[in-house]
Amino acid sequence: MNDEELRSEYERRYREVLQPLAAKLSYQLVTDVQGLERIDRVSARAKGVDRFMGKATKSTESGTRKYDDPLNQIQDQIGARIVVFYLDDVKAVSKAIEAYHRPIEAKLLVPDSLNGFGYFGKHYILTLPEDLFADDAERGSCPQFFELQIKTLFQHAWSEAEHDVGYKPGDTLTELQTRQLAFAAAQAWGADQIFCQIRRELDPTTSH
Amino acid sequence: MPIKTIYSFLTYARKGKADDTVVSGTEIPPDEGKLCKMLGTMFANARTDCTIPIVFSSENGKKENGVRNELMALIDKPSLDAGKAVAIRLQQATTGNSGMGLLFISIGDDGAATRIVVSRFPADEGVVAERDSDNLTVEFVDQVFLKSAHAYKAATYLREGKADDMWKGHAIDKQMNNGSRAVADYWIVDFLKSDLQSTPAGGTRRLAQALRAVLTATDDPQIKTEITAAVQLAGNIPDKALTIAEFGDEFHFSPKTKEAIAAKVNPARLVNEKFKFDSSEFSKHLAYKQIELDNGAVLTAPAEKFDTCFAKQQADAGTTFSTTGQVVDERLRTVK
Repeated sequence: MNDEELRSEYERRYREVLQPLAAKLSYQLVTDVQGLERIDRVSARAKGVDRFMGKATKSTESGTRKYDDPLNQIQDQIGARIVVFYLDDVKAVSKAIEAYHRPIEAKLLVPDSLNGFGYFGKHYILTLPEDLFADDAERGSCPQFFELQIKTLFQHAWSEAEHDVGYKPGDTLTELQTRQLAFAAAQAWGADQIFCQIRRELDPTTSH
Repeated sequence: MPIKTIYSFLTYARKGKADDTVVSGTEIPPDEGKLCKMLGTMFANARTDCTIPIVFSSENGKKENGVRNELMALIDKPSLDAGKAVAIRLQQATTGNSGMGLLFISIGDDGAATRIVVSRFPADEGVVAERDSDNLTVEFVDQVFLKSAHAYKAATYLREGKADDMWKGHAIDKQMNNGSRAVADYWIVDFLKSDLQSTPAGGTRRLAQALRAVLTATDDPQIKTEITAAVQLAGNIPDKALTIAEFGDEFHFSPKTKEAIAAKVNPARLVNEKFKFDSSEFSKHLAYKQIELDNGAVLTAPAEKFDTCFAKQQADAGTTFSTTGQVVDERLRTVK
């Protein structure tokens, strides 16, 4: 399949399969976390065609394509996000999600270096619930999995702004820009720590 | 769907023991003999016999599962040694309760994909009777491997050549509701390192939502009564795997109640999907609050509506509950 055919197939999949699935998933995730407090938002979206093609046609350092079967290898064709107020709420939401979904991957993303500040968040790859697929659904075009990110408001704000300014791994930044991004990340990390701590102190019944 | 490759291994109970037992295995050339015919039938029927959807579990949070890796390696490059790795894994998951068994691994085409069927026949004792024109000879056999109606286990996966193949498969396990957890978890959890596709909370919520939807929609007093009675008793269901259809059988629902419930399960195929019943999840979605007064009165209503169904007035003499509505059903019961 060449790039043009890949785009055409993904456009069809996006329209006919992924967008309706994302809408149903969003509803299901809202149901999953019903009753939990301090949830800012729950959303699910189908990966846009341009973004999919950008990822699908990425090359490795040796110049070969990173994905030889992108329609089946790229797992965030449906991505979902749950944004919560505090770090303790990430745990509560994770528990609810694990009660209703089967993860094939679960990881807490933290920067490699103890001195570093950057992206933090809880990421899952989960099987798409069978309830979302009609009995006559054409399963060959349906992904089996979706990616779920659970983040605090501060983690979400930092990653959105960092993404929006257009910085990508590998870009050359000035020393000042590097420090500025690290500073912003550290501020977001610190705000999470402090709000979590204050909340625990003010409400000792908080589970943590 | 012809089988291309068949391996068989004799496996012992070695869970928790140093695995110094040699796993004896052999490749069985597909032929027209009775054994291959039986295995061929099992292979052809695997998709309909193995009705329980399962998912490989993530290992340590990573997108990895050792059994999946071994089965895919076996399909991609079949060999007795690759099959032996699966047999050793089975042996290491086998306790004395499950004992010796004969493992069959069959690989063959299924359309454009490749199917693998892994099945286990437990060892038993038996008697062989042979009759010729004049005599009957009877002989005891102490190692006979049976496709036991009470202990048969199998699993099947389809390899389509996609990057994310075989995370999901289908299984059959006649002992998954055994009272001993070691026996119940032996095939799917301990050997296959998998879980049922529907989580206990997910499957139970689906059931509860269907029952609740019927209670809201129906005007039929019999359907309401049957479901209400089941809801009150459902907390007693042990930690057992069942389907929504089997829940109806458990409480001897009438055909019209079963139909009403099935109609509220969307998509309909999930009526037959197994999950482990979770009583606390069930009561989150469908609970009845009941109050008994010292004068013998018993008041019952859905938990979330109890306070709107009954107005409550507290006085020194006691508590007064009052409610107003149309009588839709009235009956005498010998129990509360």
